[in-house]
This record gives sequence, C-alpha cells and structure tokens, in this order.
Amino acid sequence: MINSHLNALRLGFSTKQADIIQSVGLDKYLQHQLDAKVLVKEPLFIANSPKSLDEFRSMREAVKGNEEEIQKIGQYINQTNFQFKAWVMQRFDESEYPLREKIALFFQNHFVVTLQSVRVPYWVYLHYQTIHQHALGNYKTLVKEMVYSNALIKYLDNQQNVKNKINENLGRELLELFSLGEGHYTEEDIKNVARALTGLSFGKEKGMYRPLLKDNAAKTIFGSTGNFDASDAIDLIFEKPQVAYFLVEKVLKWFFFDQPPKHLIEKYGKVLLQHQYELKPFFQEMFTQECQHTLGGNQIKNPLVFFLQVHHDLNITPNYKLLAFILKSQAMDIYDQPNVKGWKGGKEWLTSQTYADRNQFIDFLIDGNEMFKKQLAKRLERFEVGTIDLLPKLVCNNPKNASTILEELTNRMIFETNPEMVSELNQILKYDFDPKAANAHQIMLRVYQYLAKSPEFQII
Amino acid sequence: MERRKFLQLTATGTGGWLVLPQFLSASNWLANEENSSDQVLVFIQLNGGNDGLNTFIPCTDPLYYEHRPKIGITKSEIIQAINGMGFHPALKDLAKIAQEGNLTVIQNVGYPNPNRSHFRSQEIWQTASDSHQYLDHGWLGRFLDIQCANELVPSLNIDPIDNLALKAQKSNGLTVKDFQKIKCYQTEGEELKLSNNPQLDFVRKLQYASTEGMEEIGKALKKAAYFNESYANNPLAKNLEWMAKLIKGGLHSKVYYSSLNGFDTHNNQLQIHQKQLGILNDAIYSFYKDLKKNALLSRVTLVVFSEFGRRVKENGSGTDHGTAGPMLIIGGNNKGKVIGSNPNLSQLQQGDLVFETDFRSVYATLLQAKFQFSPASIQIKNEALKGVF
Repeated sequence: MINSHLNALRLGFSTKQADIIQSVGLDKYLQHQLDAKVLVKEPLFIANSPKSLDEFRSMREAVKGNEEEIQKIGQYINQTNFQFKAWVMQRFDESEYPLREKIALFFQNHFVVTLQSVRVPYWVYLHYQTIHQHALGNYKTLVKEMVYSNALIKYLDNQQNVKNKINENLGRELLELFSLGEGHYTEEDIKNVARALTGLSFGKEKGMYRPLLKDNAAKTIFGSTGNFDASDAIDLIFEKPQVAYFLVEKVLKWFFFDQPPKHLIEKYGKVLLQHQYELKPFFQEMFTQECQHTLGGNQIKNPLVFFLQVHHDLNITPNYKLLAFILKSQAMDIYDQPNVKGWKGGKEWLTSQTYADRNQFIDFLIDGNEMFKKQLAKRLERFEVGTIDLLPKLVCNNPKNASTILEELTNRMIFETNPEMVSELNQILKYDFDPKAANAHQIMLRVYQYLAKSPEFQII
Repeated sequence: MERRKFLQLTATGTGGWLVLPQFLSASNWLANEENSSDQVLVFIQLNGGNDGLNTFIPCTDPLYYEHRPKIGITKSEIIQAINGMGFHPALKDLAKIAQEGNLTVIQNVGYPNPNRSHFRSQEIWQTASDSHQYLDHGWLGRFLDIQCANELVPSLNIDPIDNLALKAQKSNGLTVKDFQKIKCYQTEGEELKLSNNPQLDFVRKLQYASTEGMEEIGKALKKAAYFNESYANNPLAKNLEWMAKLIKGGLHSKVYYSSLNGFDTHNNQLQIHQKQLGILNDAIYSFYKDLKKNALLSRVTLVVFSEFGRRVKENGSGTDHGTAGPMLIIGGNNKGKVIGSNPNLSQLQQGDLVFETDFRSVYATLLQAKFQFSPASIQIKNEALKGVF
C-alpha cells in the first residue's frame, strides 16, 4: 500500500487527503493539521432546539394530555438527533482538518454521551464543542471540563448524586474509563470520589454545584483527606502516572493498533508525562513516529472509515443521513454508543453479519439491486434524506493496461496481497483488457468490488 | 425442593397442554436423523445486571421490605412458589413452567471477589475466569473447540454483536443479527488461507464462517419449513423461534445464545423491570410451548443468567450494581427444584448478597450432565453442582 494512502486512512476517515500528504510531506501535513484553529459554528437545528432538560420538559408539559402532540415532540427530538449525526459526519468528511475531527471523535468515544439518553441535543452539541476546544490542550483540563459537561452529568446520572444519597455512576466511570482503568483503585476510592461529585448538577452552559446538595464532610482519596470537590479529586487522580498509560493505550488503539505493543504504550506514556499531559506535543510525536515506522495490517477498519473511503474511491457524494443510518446497523451509531464504555473497536467492528452487510452494500453500488433499493428507500422514508446519488465512478490515474490498473488499485486499497488474490484479480482483469473498451469502466469496477470485499480491505 | 411441593404451593391456575398426535412432533419426524438425540444448550444473557431479589423474591423476609420500601414488590402480587420465595408477577408463565416441574432455580449464584463493572463481570461469566484472571476465549468456545472441532456451525449467536462466551480458537461460531436478512447471502465456499497476521486471520475466518455456515443454516431452515408455531411478538421471542426452527431442522450447533438488554435499573426500576421481565417471560414461554409440543424439551436446556444481581438496598427509584443472583434452568430433564438457601438479607457484604454457588459449578454441571464432558479440560476446576439434572 502506498504510504500516503495508509496514513490518510489513519489520520482521517478516507484516502481523500492522500494526495496532499504525498505532496507536502508527512511532517508539514501534521503541522498544518495540529496548528489549525478549528471553528465550530452552531448549526440552525441546534439553535432552535430546547436548551435544557427543563425546556424539553416544559415543551412536553405544554401539550400534556394530547397524545398526538407529545408524539410529535418525540419525533422532533429524534429528527434533531438524526440531523446532529448527519451534521457531525459531514464535518468529519468535509473538514479541511480531518485529523482534528478524528481526535475529537476519539474523545467522544472516551467520554461517551449519547443523544438517546441525554435527550437535549444542545447539550450534546456543547459536549462536542468543548472537546474541540480542549482536545489539543491539557488532558487534565479536558477531564475536568468533561466532568462539568451537562451532557455527561445527565448521561451518568450525576444530578442524582447528592449528599447522603450517593449515586456512584460518574465517580466510578471517572476512575474506570476516564483516568486509571480497572484495577487501579478500590471500591472505597469510588465512594469517596463520588462524594466529591455530590451536588454537581446541570447549569446553563456547563454543570455547577448545588451547595445544599454537596457533601462537605472530609473525603479520603488515595490516602489524602480533605473536603474535595470534582477538580480536587481529578488533581489527586492525575498524580498517578497510570492515567497517562491508560490514555495512551486507547489512543494507539484508535489510530494504529488493535493490540498496541507494550513498549509503545510505555514510550508514549512517558512522552505524555514529560509534557505534563499537554496533548498537542504528545500527538505530534506519536503521529510523526508511528506514521513513519508502523506498517499496515494492524487494525480492523471501523465502519465510518470503510463507508467514507468507499464513497470517495467511487466518487459518490455521501448522503450523511444515509450514512448515519448505515453506521447504526454497523454497530457504530454515531453519538449513540451501546454503553458507557464506548465502541471497543478491533474485532468488535466485524461480525459475520456486519461483514456481509458491508459486502452487500458494495454489491449494491456496483451491481445494483432493485429489491435492496426499495427496502432502503422504505426504511429511510421518515428521515427526509433527500436525494441519494449512488452512481459509482472509478478513476485510475494510469489506466494503460490491466497490470497498471491492478497495481494502482491494490496499492491504493489494500495493505498486502497474496498469490491467490493476484491470480483471481488476473482473472477479473485479464492481461489483454482494453482500457478503451465500452465496458471498461464496469470491469474496472469489478476489480474494485473484489478488492473492497476482500478481508484485506477490512484492515488498515 | 421437590416438584410435588411446587405444585401445591404455586398460586396460579393449572395450564395443562393438549396431547398432540405423534405425527406432529418434531422428534418423531427427526427419528431417523443421526443427531436426533443430541443435547442442545440455549443461553439467554440478561444484560445490565438483573435484580435477582425482584425476580425470585424472598417475600416473607421482612428485611426485604425494609431494604426496599419503594421498589419492593407488593406481597399480594408476588406469585408464591415455595419456602418463602415467589416470582415477580411478570413471570407468571415461568411460575407455570416451575409448577410443571421443568424449571430449576439456583439461588445466590456468583463468584469470589465480585466485580461490579458490567463489562468486566460479563467477561468473567463469559470466560469462566477467576475474578482477577483474563482469558481470551470463552468457556463455550473452549468447550466447542474440543467437542465439535469439525462442525461448520458449532454455535449460533443471534445478537447484534459477537459473544465472548463463544469465542473459540479453532471453530468460529456464527453471529447473526437478523435472520430475515441473512438468508440473502449465499456465496460459494473459499479455501481458508492462514497468515501470520491475527487481524487478517480473524477477518478471513469470519468470511469463511459466514459463507460456509450460511449453507448449513439454509439447509436446516428448509427442513424445518413444515413447522410453524406462534410466538410472542418481541425480538427475544423471535430469536428463540429461529433457534427452535434450526434445532428442528437438524442444525448441528450444540450451543445457541442470545441476550436481552435493559436490566441496568438505576432508575425507574419498577416499570422497566416489569417490562423486561414480561418480555423474558413471554419469549421463554413461547419457546417452552413449542419445545414441549414437539417433544424436544428433554433435548434442549435453556439457561438464563445475568452478570450480577443488584444492591439489596434500593437507591432512589432503582438499585445499584450488586453481586449474586439467581440462575434459571428450563428443560433438559432438570429436576425442577429450588437449589440453595434463600438470600440472606441479614448478612451482607458491602450491602450486597454473599454468593453461595459459584457460576462455574453450574457450567460444570451443564457440561457433565449434558455432554459427559470433563470441565477440567477447559480449566473449570469447580465441582459440578448437584441436584440440577
């Protein structure tokens, strides 16, 4: 596989940026991506949506008793959620800085909140915006911001965590998922961290403490005792270097390896610690090194990358609502992870069913399938997806003959070949293939189809 | 507890099933098949930590109501079973199955040093590991690797995601999310190529398993096309219906697996739990009726479990993560008893029940009784639990 294509998949969501990486070089490309100021502008459907749980409730209260109107509100929220998914996906795909979006999505999957459970799309939007603001800043600050996020407070029920009536949910996940990982704290630590979080509930833009609901008695966290609040608790947790190693392992998983080698976790954990949890220099060093030294074949491709890559390879303008719909059935429902642990990635991305579904979609794009089309149209009816353009167009830069085409496509698409594959490809595109023949494009698409369905294409 | 006493103490009416003419039964129809006597295990995993105390309820224990003033189930609503225990009202048909002597309840099942994280505790149940041990393969996967290494579909998981319990080294079981859909995929078999890249091998095996397995499934479904039973209308019931079809159609799978979400009842437990238990009850009862009618009940053992129970004391309108809980066994010629003592609410550990039976000893019983398989060969060292079969 050509290095720039491989790295485009790792640093973004498709091979769209491969040519830029190739022309400016990896270092400059990374610099450009990491230095940029990413703007997040509030979309209209968010601006018009309820701004808090109370607003949402009073909307429902206003039509109390009228089943039809209540249902309409439910539908409206569902549609707003769906719009949000399409909107972030459009950002992922069309951004000039896909690496930044990929980092943001990593953190969204790290600090999971779901549209379904938060129920206030605006809060989820703020969560996304906050991540963008701090994703290249200090990790400790990011964790603090996240714990104060209305969306996260709602998702982990911290509004119910009050003095003398602890709800451990947020406290537990702060330790298990956001900082140390399982096995590095006791049940007692969880209780005390949870107590430090008592009274932290919803605020206007971000969470705030309700003084009367806050437990002001002394807490003991990792041996220190005091009347700690969320920020103090996080400071205490961050005294443990394990926080760095736990994060680094997950980052390496997200960008490079389903099974990150231990020595790399050590290495980049130290880098993050050296920089006192500053994320930008850490990311810069890790990307620079690993994009150069790590070969392909280490990571199962997630559905988002799979489908965006296919769209771009075949010059199909993505319909983001359709994509949101497909990703849901591929177990990568954007902003609706199945649980607080987020997508696990790796082998979890593929089952015989999801693999078969990927293949069916490729077949549909290339061979067409009226039944499938009808079914799809029917299922999408109520989501107002608009026009869907699904006419594939495959462009080869060097379509001189069969062997140049095969070489180019395999180099662009898969990390390695094997003799059997080569012989099968040679059967699809025979040596005497005429690139000027009337059906040349259709036959080239068959090569694409074969490659896209191969196990190798499921892997980066 | 003996079946006879069950019959006396159960408060619900008697069901009683019509005796069907022999020619309608699947076992008769399958009499000439070589696998007509094969044993099959079916698992239903309740995700999120099912509240055992509100499932099989210690309704005569005053401590139960003391700990659960809000979410305790009113005594008059509980379906009295035996010895101070009773079923949640949503489980009315499970009570009926118990009354018919085909349901065993194993009380207080758990493991030492319980972990209250969903993911980790599920992993522990699925791999049958110790609390601090991490295993790559599932307990059923390890069993199937030895027991049916040459089967194309040693296990079938009807669920959106693969289940770690079935993850094996040699034989890749099949995961199907939606049977309606899967019927469309028919591709010719391919040779399995093995490389030194684990990711690639995984995907290749998946490709192989999906193509090869689909053929077997297609054959079984064709054979079972004559059978048509009516099932409750919920997704779990649908999954069980597919399983019943495949069992009747002679699919060689030894293990079937499915799950039901929604048991993490931190809030609004009364309502949510009632609904989920209702789904469970309806699905199982449909499956049970089908198996009984087709004389398959002795061949099929259904096991229901969850990764943990919930905290004894209620918290707001729900409960927090706990430890031990009941396991249910239906069919497979079980003895229809209640095994183990009633939950001891006066001796708690950090507010949780102390486990009495290790879940691995239940696994050991299943393997020994149903397959004459030695649990030690898949690193399950616990002694088999007595009195189930």
